Amino acid sequence: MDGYALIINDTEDLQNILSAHYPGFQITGVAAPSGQRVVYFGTFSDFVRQEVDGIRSYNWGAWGEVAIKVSNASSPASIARIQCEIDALNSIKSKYYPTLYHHEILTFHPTTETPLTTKLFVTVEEKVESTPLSGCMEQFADEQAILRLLTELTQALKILWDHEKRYVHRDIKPENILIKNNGDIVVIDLGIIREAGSKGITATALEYGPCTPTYASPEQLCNDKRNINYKSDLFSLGVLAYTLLAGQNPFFEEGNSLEDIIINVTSLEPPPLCELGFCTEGLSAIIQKLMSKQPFKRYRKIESLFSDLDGLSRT
Amino acid sequence: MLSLYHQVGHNSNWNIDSFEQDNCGDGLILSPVHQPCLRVESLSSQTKGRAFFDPQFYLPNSTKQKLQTYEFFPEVVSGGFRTTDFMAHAFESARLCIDFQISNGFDRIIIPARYFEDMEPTYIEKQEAYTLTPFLEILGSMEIDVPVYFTLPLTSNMIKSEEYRTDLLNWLTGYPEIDGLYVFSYEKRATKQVQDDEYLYQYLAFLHELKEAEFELIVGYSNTESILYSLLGDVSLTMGSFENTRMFSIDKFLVSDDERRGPRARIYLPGLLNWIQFGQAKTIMQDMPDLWRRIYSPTNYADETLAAPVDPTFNQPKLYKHYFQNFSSQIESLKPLTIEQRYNEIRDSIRTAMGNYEAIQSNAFDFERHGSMEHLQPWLDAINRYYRNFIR
Repeated sequence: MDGYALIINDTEDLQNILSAHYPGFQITGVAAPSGQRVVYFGTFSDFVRQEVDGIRSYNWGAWGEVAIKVSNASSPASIARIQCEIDALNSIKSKYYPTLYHHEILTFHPTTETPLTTKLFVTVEEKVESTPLSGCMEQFADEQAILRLLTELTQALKILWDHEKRYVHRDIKPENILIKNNGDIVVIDLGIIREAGSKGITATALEYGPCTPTYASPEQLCNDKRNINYKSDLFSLGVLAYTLLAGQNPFFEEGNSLEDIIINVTSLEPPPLCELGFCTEGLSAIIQKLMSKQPFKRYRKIESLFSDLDGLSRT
Repeated sequence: MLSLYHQVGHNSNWNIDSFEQDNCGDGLILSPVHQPCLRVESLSSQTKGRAFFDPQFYLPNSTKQKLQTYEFFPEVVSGGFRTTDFMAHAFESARLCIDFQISNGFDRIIIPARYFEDMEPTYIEKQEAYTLTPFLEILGSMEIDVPVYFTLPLTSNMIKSEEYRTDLLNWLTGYPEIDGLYVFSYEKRATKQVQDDEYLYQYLAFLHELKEAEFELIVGYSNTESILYSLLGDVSLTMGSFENTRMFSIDKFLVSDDERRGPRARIYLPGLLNWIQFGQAKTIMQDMPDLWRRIYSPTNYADETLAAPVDPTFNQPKLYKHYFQNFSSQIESLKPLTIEQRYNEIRDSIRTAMGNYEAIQSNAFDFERHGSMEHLQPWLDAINRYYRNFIR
């Protein structure tokens, strides 16, 4: 992850700040630590609050269960990144992404009214009743399940790719895919979303760009910004499918260092899944194409990926 | 489907007549440096519907008179092109250029590009800023029902550099909204035919990768080596009259007062896969009639010219119209064939041409430099290598 952003931890003080600022919020749980932010689950009851311009009513009880995400808003880069995620979520209303209800930056302590030493960016999103894919990977270890998952994920991501800002998710991995009880998927954590080919919000101290190295594309790990576009997400989809079918990430073994992973992603050609007996030649070829080291060898037309997946589903 | 377009040039009516009256070719690539705006607009809607317009932004500060008749040309829209100022006019230029192409009903929209002579390190950034981004942004807000092509002007050095090629491929394949590419390449050479087998092979390999990435392709500004590109499958090839439509050169976009001496007239002989000096061709016809029948495919245009008491000059149309007919027939015969069959056919044609050359030369006859068979072995080497690596 980005080396500059300061990580926010779950503390009693932070919970007190939230409870004071949102009198109607009842925390029911905390998500496992991941990334740079804290995620609280809970529910709102309608509440009123004294604002500069008078007392205001907040009818937030209707939202049901929500996820409150709290991030560090102390640097322009971190604010810009969160703002980018908010802009994306606000402009892509879709069943594949959580609904964003509210966002704001807290700069003063709500009780003491003193400036916060660390400004907080707070977003309130729909809590999706689901299991992360990382918690149910065994359910996706067969070919038909993978075909359905790849099709759904591609449909979800295509909304980002087709956006006028040509968004790229950049962090597709099992932890960021939620599986609802009815099987529908929701893609979360647009925290490092960016516009294709852009120079990015900030320079990074790392040699590679922000990503999860075991699922990232070679161009992300080489920080080849010009070539980071929807094809980088296609690579991650390939790694995800490979991992689900083989039961193991193709670029990671126990004991691997970060350097090992980078070398593997950029130069190791994993054996085709069909040769390992995990799937048919057809699906294996699709996954190999998705995982091509050179972006130009991956799918350019997403319709062709859909067509290939659909063709296999019918056999 | 394999198709053949006229690379329209000087005396554009030769191409238009050949297309409309002789049914040669599948369409026209219109050329503003040769055709003023009113001339293009006055073409029949039927012809325009089988033509596309190359906006030719290659040399944006060109002051060529005919280019000045187009309000969207960079030099015109910005009142004197300067790189630093053009960004303020790029979107206006793009909008006008798109409107022009749509209102004329051409069969596709062409996004123009700038030509760079050398291995320009910022080629990609410059093409994006100059035309690609403005055009795509405007096209993205419109509903159009014709394919969108991007122009890709290259040089042989770019094509021969694996790193440069890969950069181009990665860049271009990041645009799913582009349906096709109008590609051509400048090769600095002293011969009329391409004789560099490495360049030909790498060009074929590069175009193959573009096809694999599902781009439709028009391979522009080609001489008779165009026939080799049919190995790529369903692509559009080109044919032109004067040499500056059969090999790209930025020179024709420069205003020059130089009086250039016209070249000698040549005739295309399909049995040699080459253009032969008219005088030499006539000698072969007279002295070696059996061999002549093997290399010459008669047309009324060539028959009349060969029978005329005075030899033609390079700027008369008949020998070009003869070429259009001969070359169209050659491409037409390749259309129904599979790629493997095309390879066999082209390989046979090259070997046959080599045999024909040898037979003629064994009769105490030497071809002048540009009419010789020196291009044929490199062509054979290039397609054999392409076959081994991509077809077999």
